[in-house]
Amino acid sequence: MTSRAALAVRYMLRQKGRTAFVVMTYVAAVGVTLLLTSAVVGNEQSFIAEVNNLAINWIYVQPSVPPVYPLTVADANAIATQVPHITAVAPILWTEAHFNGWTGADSNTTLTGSTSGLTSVFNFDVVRGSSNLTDPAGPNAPLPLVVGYNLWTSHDLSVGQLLTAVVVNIVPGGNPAPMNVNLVVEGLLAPRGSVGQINLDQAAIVPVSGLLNLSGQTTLTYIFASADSSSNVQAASQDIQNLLFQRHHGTLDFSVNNQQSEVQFVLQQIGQFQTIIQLVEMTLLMLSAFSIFVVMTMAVKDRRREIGVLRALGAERSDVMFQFLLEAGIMSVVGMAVGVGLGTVAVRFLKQTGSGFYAALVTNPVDLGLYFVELLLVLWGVGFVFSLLPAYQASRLEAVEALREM
Amino acid sequence: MAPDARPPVAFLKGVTKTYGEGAAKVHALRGVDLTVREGEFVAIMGPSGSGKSTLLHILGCMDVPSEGDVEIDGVAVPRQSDSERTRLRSERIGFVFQSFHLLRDLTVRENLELPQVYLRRKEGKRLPTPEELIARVRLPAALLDRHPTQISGGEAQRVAIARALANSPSLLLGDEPTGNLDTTNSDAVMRIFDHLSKEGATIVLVTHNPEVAEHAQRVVRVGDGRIVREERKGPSEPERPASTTGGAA
Repeated sequence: MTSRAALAVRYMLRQKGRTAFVVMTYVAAVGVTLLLTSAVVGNEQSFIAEVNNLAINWIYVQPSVPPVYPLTVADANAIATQVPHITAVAPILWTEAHFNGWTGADSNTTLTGSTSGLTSVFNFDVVRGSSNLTDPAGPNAPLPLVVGYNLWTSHDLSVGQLLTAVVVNIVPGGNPAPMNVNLVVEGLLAPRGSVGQINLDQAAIVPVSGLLNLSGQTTLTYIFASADSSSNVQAASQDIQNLLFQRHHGTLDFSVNNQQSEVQFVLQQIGQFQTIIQLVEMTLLMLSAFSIFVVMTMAVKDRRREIGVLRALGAERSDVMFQFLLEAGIMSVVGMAVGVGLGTVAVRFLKQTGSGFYAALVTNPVDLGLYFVELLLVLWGVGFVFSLLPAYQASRLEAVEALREM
Repeated sequence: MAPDARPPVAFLKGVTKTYGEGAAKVHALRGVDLTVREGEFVAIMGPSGSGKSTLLHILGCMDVPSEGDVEIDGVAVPRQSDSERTRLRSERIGFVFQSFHLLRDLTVRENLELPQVYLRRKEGKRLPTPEELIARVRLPAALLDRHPTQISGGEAQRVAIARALANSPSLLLGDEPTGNLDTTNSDAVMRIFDHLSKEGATIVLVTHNPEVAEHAQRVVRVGDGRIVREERKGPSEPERPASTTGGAA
């Protein structure tokens, strides 16, 4: 170690309290920033991945509550037949069902009414049977049921198996009384995983028209559609809006969203969150800068004699200035390094022990990209600027003046 | 008496130093002429406030005269450029302080290396190693890895002398180098100065202590900012009064 570095390091070790104060402010600034940034970046990436993973080039229509005109299967058919670039359409009706003999978490299962277009839109593979969701021929014939991976593996279901369930209306205006329904397993789906709060492997899908009849509901929950390419999603969304506007007699009692608008919305929300984070970061940055300024000013005051001796031994003003900047630099770099280390440990701990928001945290600081690197550089740079004045004051000290105080 | 042919290491001509303005103006030095030649051992004596420390600071390029000229080793000391004066000090002057002023955060070895760290022009100059320096002041090399707080006052002052020799200076300056030492350690330190003088070092010490001044070849007495008297040792260099200008060369 050179004498200059030794002088810097040993002085800092002797002044443990002050050094710890500066280092801790840097640790806090970097650690908290790392945590917040990894949360923002991680959740942004996670949410965008979820949005993109939900379905293929998806567009969805949601009725207003209450709608002036119900969103119907006929609307879905019109989208399928009249809107260019649409490859598949899935009308969606959600209601709740209690399957006889199923216990635990599956005792209340969301029953989805749809068409065979659903497997195309949501990119399901059928492992056994088919995804044919046509209404049965007779009034008492069981409804065909296509089952998600978790459900059919948990309950050991097979194609052709008969089931009974009680359908409970979950939308006001439907049948007030629960309805018994007979079901026959038509198809078993391959694993698909979860998208956000929706576990696609818990899907229990029946023909939408049959479920509408059973539940007594008049409007669909959603209509989902897939465009043939991501570049046609926006245009197809606009066409769907125009079509439904016409079909609903000039009433905009629905909204049309799509994969891209959803991503934009998320980015916008995260952007607002980032503004708050930047304010927090700025506060911590100023605290770090203030701490280094105070500690370096105290150091200069304490070390007037030492500065005088250094000057007598041949140190130029620039050498004295360098000495103090070196110390400030070492403290800030150590603080930042410890901050990155502790921040990473904290992020990993939260990711391992938490779920949802925490599960999406980015654990490797390198993956945070340029933003974090820029922030570290700014943090170091501001500390450097704030230590310039004390260092300059030290360098202006006259050797004779300092030696006279001995 | 034949003129001294040795080249001057320090040359002061008409040096005046004043502090303050108007009524508060203080004359620290009043037209001092002084020449210190190569290999001389000079003691500067005088009461407090006589100007001897100011004289030492000007000799050490740490202060500049208000008037007059100063040359160190044949180089005119610039008044304006602190950087050039520092460089001159770094290359040609070694300092020994009353309170040693070793840096306590550094080991003895690192203290000895420090003047060389700040030495800008090292070309053609063979600089002594810490081991050589510690040997010159008759201390064991085992001290090199200790900190100043782990050695005695006498050892600390000898290390300080070794540090002053680290840049192989043309002029070794001491400000009351035995002022903080007991008699035994004072004697040991002065023996080091004697030894260095015999090796040919040019030494200027400021002291109150007549016993310290006894070791010098020449004693310059300062009073009220002037050189009031000068004594030379040895049969060929009898005592003589100071010149009317107050200087002595």
